[in-house]
Amino acid sequence: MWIKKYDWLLMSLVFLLTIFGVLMIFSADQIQTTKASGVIYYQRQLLWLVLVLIGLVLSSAFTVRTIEAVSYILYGLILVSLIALLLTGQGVERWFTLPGTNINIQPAELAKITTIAALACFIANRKKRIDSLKDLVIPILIVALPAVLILLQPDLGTSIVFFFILFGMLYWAGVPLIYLFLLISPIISFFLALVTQLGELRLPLWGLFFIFLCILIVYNRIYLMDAVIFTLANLLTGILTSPLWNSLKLYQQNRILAFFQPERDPQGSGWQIIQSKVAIGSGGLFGKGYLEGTQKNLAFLPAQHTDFIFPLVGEEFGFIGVAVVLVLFFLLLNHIIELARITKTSFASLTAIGIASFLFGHIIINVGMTVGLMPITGLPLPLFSYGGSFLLTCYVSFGILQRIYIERSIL
Amino acid sequence: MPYRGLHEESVSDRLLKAQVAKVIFLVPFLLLLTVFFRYQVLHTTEYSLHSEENRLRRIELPPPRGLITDRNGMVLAENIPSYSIELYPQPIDSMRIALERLAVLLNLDPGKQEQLVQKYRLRTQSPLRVATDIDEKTLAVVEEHRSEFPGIFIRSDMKRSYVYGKKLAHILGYVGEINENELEDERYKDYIMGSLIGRSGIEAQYESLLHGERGAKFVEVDARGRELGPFRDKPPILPVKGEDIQLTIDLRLQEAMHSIMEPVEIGVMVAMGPNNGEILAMVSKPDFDPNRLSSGISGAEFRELLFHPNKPFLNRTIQGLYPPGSTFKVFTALVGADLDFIKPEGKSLEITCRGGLQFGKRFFNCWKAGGHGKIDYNQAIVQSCDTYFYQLGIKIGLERFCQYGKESQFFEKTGIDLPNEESGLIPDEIWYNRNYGRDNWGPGNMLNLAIGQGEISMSPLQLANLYATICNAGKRFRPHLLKGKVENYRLADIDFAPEHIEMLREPLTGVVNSPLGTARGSRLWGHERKMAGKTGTSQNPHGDDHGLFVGFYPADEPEIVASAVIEHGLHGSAVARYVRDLILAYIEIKAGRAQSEVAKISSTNPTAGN
Repeated sequence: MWIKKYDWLLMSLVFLLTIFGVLMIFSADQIQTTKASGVIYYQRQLLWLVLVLIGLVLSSAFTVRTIEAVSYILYGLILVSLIALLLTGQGVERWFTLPGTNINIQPAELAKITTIAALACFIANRKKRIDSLKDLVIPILIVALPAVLILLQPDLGTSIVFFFILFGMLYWAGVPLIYLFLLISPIISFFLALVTQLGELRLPLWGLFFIFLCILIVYNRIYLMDAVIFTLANLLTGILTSPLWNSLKLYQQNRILAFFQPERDPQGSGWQIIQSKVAIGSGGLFGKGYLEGTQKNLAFLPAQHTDFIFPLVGEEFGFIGVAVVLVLFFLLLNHIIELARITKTSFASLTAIGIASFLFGHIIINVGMTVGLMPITGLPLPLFSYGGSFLLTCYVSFGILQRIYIERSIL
Repeated sequence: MPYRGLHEESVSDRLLKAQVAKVIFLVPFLLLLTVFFRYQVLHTTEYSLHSEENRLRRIELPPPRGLITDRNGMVLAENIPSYSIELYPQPIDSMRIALERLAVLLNLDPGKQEQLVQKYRLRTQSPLRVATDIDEKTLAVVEEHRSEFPGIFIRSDMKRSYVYGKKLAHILGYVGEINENELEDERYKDYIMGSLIGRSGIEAQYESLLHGERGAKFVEVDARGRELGPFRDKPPILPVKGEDIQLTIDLRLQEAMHSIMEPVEIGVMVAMGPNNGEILAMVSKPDFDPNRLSSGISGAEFRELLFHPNKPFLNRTIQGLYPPGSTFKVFTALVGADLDFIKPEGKSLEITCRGGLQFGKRFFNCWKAGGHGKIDYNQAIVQSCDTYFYQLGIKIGLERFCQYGKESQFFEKTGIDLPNEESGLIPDEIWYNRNYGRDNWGPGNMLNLAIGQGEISMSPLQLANLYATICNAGKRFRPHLLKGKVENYRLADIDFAPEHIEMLREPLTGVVNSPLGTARGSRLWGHERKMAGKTGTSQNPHGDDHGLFVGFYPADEPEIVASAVIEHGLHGSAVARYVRDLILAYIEIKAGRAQSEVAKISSTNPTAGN
């Protein structure tokens, strides 16, 4: 049986984190408001766990070759379903409900894996190195299509994760780091121009950045065409940011600022961050003890079963608990990178990196959000947050990783 | 570098790439750890404090106000439960919907709803009070349909209830919520927004006794402000109930007085014990319902009361000033006796009344146009002859008369334990010079003062107090409402000789009981003991004259003194009947009869007497 050949170190890390997660959901269940509503999340999560374990075993049953073979088809199907969701839905629509059941399917979740597979398939089958902007068009399109469709749902958080996938895999494919930097340079330009515009720093930050960028472009001898495009893109961003910003109404400006600096709006989105920080900060070094969190107990923490489950760790287990979870997560990512390193097959290796990238995106954005380092986008924390769809995505990914591990030396 | 495809990379290339990737992943993790370290280790104290504050809510426990009882322990003011409806903090839209649903039940028109939404906007973290003091029917309906109104909460409170409503309105006063100006006052430093405070009457006078001490409980609340239960580590501070107060008021007499005064539009009656200064009953018309004021009266309704031409808030027993008219002749008589114009033996000074007196260029009328003819001291009081007192007044002289008036202190505040008492007025030369100019008045003004007219004015309580002192052979007590030791209210005796005071008893008894007395119609027929008193008419330049009467009973050994002023009541003789009815009620109550029969008393009823 193929299960015997599993990477049990990987499985151990996954199980450790999953058990920790279920314990935290159990803890979140103890709040009075949840108790009153009669929903017991941890039991549901355990039920989901049984289902996703089956998902893991099943997904590890397909050979890497099979996955590669169907990757474009699956990718296409997901694109169609994302479009269908946008066309049929009214307002915020993130899932289909299977007819006759109350099981919801979120195409955005499945899109992560299929996009990884499709991009891996494309890069693995290229004969040439990717080293110009022209070569990047198709990989960017492969990721941007589902990302934009998801952004329109609207689900900003998930679409941001796609950029982690893109950059991670492009890096692994051998795209020079300078190119990856140039790709995100217009975004950096935008922020620096904004900061300069708002006058929060007295330095002409954007100008300095632009000069630095030009030097970088010249020094690295980028193709002329690409150099022109990158320079123009940054210049336009820098120049247009100011008038664009000023054309916004004050409340629109405030909304954007509150997105990046939630503390600006203590009654709205900032409230969550403040409460989250209070929970984390009051946990101290050792925490208040399991099930003893007072902030979570009184529901000061919003969405503590899902997006804001990590502050519970901080409150009940303190800095020690936070460090343990973060170390476990890093070990998991480290292990996946190691797997990608020893895997000979390009497709398999790239897929492993894609999976590591999307997990990394989720972890950094979610945990960063709880301390106000990242905007609140509603991204769940892998293996911790309550919710079946995302847990399934993770476990299917782990199933694929297991199959990659089993086939690591087969060429 | 020729491209060899991912699978053709050398092992060392792969290794380098993987190491770089691991570092790229590691940096954000380290950054996060640093931030968590800062919050959880370096700044944990601040956040721990914040976390305590988050969940701890102090709920103020208002102290139950002290009860107010009458002299027999009958409760006059108490605290009864009242219910208000609140909505828990929720998004504005949910709040709007909740208010719309409650609209029919609580009579919330759209304007009022919007007003509440705006109020909520200001403090979105605390519950919104939608309706206060709802009636039991509404309460039952809300209770029954609770599940249909999400976020609803019924809060029980105490409110002040005045058991006898307007019957004691001016005595008890009423309470209201403290306002912002008062909150800044040093005296009210323990009060908070929403604390009840006495607004007038006894409630205001004895605020410090009645109020008690506020307590608090500490509860854990959740993020939506819902109370989850008592806070483990902080026991509640129990409120201390205000002191109960016993008044000197006799409820039954007060009720009788109130029903006697019911037909009067504007008028006053006050009854007190001459031997102790205790106020037994006090009514000022028009009055108001203190219960309406204490349970959130509307602004319009309040303004209507406040600006009503008849001024219902005015307690005329202590704030209404009237020239005492002929009732003041007793004082002129006392001064005359003190200056030896009238002597106890033989009661000298006889005059002939020809319907008035020529003084200088002016003729001063006696009320009896035909004149009283030859008249002595006793008959001058019994028949209230003005001419007699004009003559006596001329003998006394303005300067001396005013001196006596001032020194008697009867025009000063009596010192009754009610807020905003007014002092009366006895003019003197300085006053005349200042108000009229040096040449615009003359000794003729003395003639008016001698019969209690003109610039002289007193409150009905001051008048009652004057007669109480006369009844008491000069022993003086401070009128008061709070029941306490008699000695505490004893004041210095007045400066008139007891035998001079005693001289007044016979003629004052005659006013009511002799065939020529001005109040002969108010005689207590068939009663063993007699009522005495004096009629008066207070000249009113703005309309019909005010009628006055001060009576006491029993004439020979007074237990009760009552003064009454009926505005536009024309004559004291008419007012005497009101006082007589009160005395009858007093006799009846004393005899232990049911208060309900008071109205049926007729003069043929035998009386138990003393």
